[in-house]
Parts: sequence; structure tokens; C-alpha cells
Amino acid sequence: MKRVFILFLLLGGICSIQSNAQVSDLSQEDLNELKRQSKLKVDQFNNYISFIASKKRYRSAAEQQEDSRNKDYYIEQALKLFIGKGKESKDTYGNTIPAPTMETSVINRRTNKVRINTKPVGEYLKHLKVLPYTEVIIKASDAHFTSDAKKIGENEYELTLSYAQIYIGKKGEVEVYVDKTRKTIVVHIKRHIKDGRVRWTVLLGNIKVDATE
Amino acid sequence: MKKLVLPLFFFLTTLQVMAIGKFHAIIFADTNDDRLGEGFYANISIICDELGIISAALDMENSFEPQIYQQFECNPEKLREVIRNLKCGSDDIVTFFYFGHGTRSSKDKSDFPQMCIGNDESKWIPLEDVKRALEKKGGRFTLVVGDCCNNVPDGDPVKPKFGVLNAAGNSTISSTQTAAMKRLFLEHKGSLMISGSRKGEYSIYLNGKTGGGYLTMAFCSVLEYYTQKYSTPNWDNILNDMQELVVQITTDIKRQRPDLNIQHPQWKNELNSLKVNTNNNNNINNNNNNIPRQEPKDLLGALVDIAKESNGVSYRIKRRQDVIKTYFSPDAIVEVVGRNGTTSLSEETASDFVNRISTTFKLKNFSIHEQRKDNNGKVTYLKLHEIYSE
Repeated sequence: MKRVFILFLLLGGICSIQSNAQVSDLSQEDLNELKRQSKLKVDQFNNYISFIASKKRYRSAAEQQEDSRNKDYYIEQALKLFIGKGKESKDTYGNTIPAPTMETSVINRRTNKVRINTKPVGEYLKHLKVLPYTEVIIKASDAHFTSDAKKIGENEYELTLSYAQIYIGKKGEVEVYVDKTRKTIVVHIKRHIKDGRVRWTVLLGNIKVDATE
Repeated sequence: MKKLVLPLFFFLTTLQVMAIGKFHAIIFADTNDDRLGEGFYANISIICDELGIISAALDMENSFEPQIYQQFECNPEKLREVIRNLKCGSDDIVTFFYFGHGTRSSKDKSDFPQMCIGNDESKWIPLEDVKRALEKKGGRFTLVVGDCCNNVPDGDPVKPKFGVLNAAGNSTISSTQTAAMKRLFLEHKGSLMISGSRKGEYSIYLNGKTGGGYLTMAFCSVLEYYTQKYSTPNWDNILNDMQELVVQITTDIKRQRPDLNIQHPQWKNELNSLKVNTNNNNNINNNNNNIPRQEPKDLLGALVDIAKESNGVSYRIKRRQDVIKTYFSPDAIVEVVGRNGTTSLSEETASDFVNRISTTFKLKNFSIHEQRKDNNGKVTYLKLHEIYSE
């Protein structure tokens, strides 16, 4: 088994000796790289979320202002991971693409009812920055693809990735809000040719809540 | 008392940091060769990615800056100069790679090949000589790899050589992989020399931009496999599997090309296990606020510096403009490629690129594949692969 893996890695991963298995019409080699890139972007986004939501006790007003400016800058960078940089945009044919959205869930602990809210990602990130907790911990884990690459148009593909998110809001030492949510994110992949070479763009799309506990 | 303790603390901290050592990577590749130049070139890309991963995992004192000598720089004079100028501390790791043609004389004492470096046969250098010269530099770990043939040409025209370098005298990482690389490179002392084939054999290359030498590809694949899977791998398993893999593949190739030989990589393992407390390394790096920060002197160093999370959010954001102005022309483009070196994953302006890496998480290192500069020495185009930890 070990040898089969290494052999596969060598022949499929590096040499690419005439073994371009096709998924949609992507080569296996490109697909592997694009999946890695998709996972990386989702991972980066979750790290951005965690940083933007983080709270600390400032030593001075200047430090607080600097932290606020830094977080705004992180929001700007996080939005660049998304289609249209998180804003409404146009596709190749001039059709309007709405700003990507983020679903969040809130559990009412008394009734156990879950309420789903949907916001454009930009708004969601700004909201995260000003959450009224003294400490917010957001962790993401267990990311895996729930679909293979799907062709959705000429030179356009889609992948779906699922991950678990744990959200803890604290006031002082008390955890006042905790939930675990499974989310699904759509990743958009676009192929274009420049200088005779294929170039790829990998951008994140809508994020949905699958289940909340 | 306080006056004494504080400098002593800094002194000890600095001492421990110095003990970690530097990581040197020297690559000579005969990319001008008409027949296999592209394959040799592909090998540079494969090994740079792997060395970038090793260097990021080991977290050595210096940023990863491979010294690559190809085309007309791949010559014996340059090799001598590079070895002569190599400054090596007692904790340093020195790696050397040769991708080009190799040969031997039937009278050669060494089982390892002569590197056909340059056009003058009398100046070709035995791989064993490179190993000896590098060992003399006094580093802790020396790795010498020659992905080249080791056969005696018809008529045995090559003169035996030994000691010709003596005249030169005075050259996305998981915690498992980090631990594994530290085990292999920091917990061993001595040298390891590898050649692509045994005496009398050719070393086979898959030519083309996505090709490379079977030895290099197998070495990197097996090293990746073991370090990703096991935190305590050992060199013997890696070397044995590397050999088995090359033998297996070249056996298959021989069925289609009976004129080629089955290639048996060989090695001389003179490494001794050395127990090092690698945790010290992590602790020191976490305390690096106490160590005066040194301005990186080159592009790669500057990029690693700006990507390094331990440098702090504000420092990374503030450094952006300086890095953009110092190294890039105003309309410079940065292309990011995948591990295979060919799949183009993004293309952005240098400014967008630097802005992005100033906030990116877990970005440990870069492997630069290509850079073009304008007349002022500023980068106009940069092609690289980004290396992340898990």
C-alpha cells in the first residue's frame, strides 16, 4: 500500500507521465492543486475571522486605535478571498452577481430553536469586530470536500467544502454563548488563458449553515 | 545583580539561537544541455520546493536562499569558488545537488560518479570530492546528491580523478512533518552522499519542463511521504524506499526501452544520531521580541519576514510599503504556482501580493521559480510557490 502511494505520488503527482485522469475536463494534476488552494483559502478565511473577532485589553487609546485599523485592514484582505472582493459584481456576460453571503445561526437555549441570519460577508466581518463580548474564540476544523469539481459554465467550475466551526463568546470568565456549526462553502474556480498559458482564479462564494448544535 | 542577570539572559538566549545553525543549499544544474537541459531545470524546481519545506520545518537561523548555478554558471571554477566561499558554522546543515551528466573511469577508486561539469573533461569533479570538501567546512550535517549517470563510456576515455577539489582548500507543514524534518536533519551529525546510479549505470531523466531525474523525484517523494506520515522517520528507510522506487520504475521503463539500464541509486551514509532538544528552538523563537530584529537583505528574506506571524500584526503591516518600494518595479506582477510548479493559481500585482502576505496565516516560506528584473534591479515578474504549515 505504501509503495502504491509513493508510486502514485511520483507518477501522478510529479512526473505526470501521460496520466491525466479527467474530472469534468480538469486534469487530475490541476484539480489536486486547485483543491489544495481552495482548502487553503477557506482556512485563511477562518483564521481572518478568528483574528477579527478576537478581543484584548488595551494599554492605551493609541493601541486600541491601531488594533482597530489593523482589523479593518484584515477585513479588507479577507474580502479579497471572495468573488467581487465581497461586493456585488458582474460576470463575464455582464450579469449581476450578488455580494457573497454568510449565514450564521443563533440557538435560543431555552427553546432550542435555531434562527438563521444571512448577511453579505463584508457586513458579517464588520459585525464580528464589534461583538459585545470581552473574548471571542472561533475555531474551524474538519474541512473536507462534499462534491467533486462541477462544471458550471464555459471555463468555470465549482467545488463545495464543508467544515465545522466552534464559536465561544465570553463576558469576563463566563462563556455566555457557545455553539458548534457545520458550514458549507462554495468555491468558484475560473480558467483563463494568458500568454498562451492556462491561469486559474480560486474565489470563495456563499457560506451556508448546515446544522447547529 | 539585576544588571548582571539581564545581559546574561540575552547572552544565553543569543547563544542558544546561534546553536541552531544555518541551512545552506547549493545547486549546480547543467540546464544548457541540449538533450536533457529541461529535465535538469525541472529538477531545480522540484528540489527547491522540497528544500523550502525542510527549511521551514527546521526553522533555522537564516531564511531559505538556495544558491543556484545553472547554464554558464554551472562550471568547475564556479563550484570551487562557491565551496571556497562557503562560511559554515558547527551547527549548520549543508546540502549540495548536482543535476547534469555524470560518468566515471574504470580506474576511479570511488563508487560514486564524476560530475561532467563544464566542457573540459580534465576539469570534471568527482562527487566524492565535493562531499569531502563540504565535510571539511565543519558543519553538522552534509547532504551531497548527484542525480547523474555513473557509467564508463565506450573506450574508457575518462581519466580517473580523486582529490581534485582539495586544491580549493578553504562553500502547507504539519507538526508531524516539522518534527520529522528536525529528527532527520537536526538530530544527526555527519554526511550523506547519494548518487543516481551505481558504477556502470546511466541515470535516467524524464525530459521536459514537468520532468526531472528519477533519483530527485524519488528522493523528494519518499522524503515527503515519510515526514508527512511519521514524526520519527529514519534515513535508512527513506534511502531503501527511494532505491526500491527508482529500481521499480526503471525496470518498467526497460521493458519499453531495452537499451536503458535499470537504475540503482547508491549512497554512503556516515550520519550519527545526535539527540538535540529541538523544543529549545521553539521556545527561543517565541521569545524573539528580546532579540534585535535584523533587516532582511534580499527579496526572499523580506518576503519571509513580512509573512512571519511572530513578527506581530503591526510590524508586518508597516513593512509593506518598504518591501514594495525596495524590491519591486511599480507595475510588477507576482504569479503563484502550485507544488507541481506549473499550475498557475493566481496572478496579482506585487502590491496586492505583499499586502496579502502581510496578513496571511501559517505562511512559512516561498520557493522562487523565476524572477525578472528591470535595469534598476527591481523585480518586474516573480513566479513562486507558497509553503504553508498545517
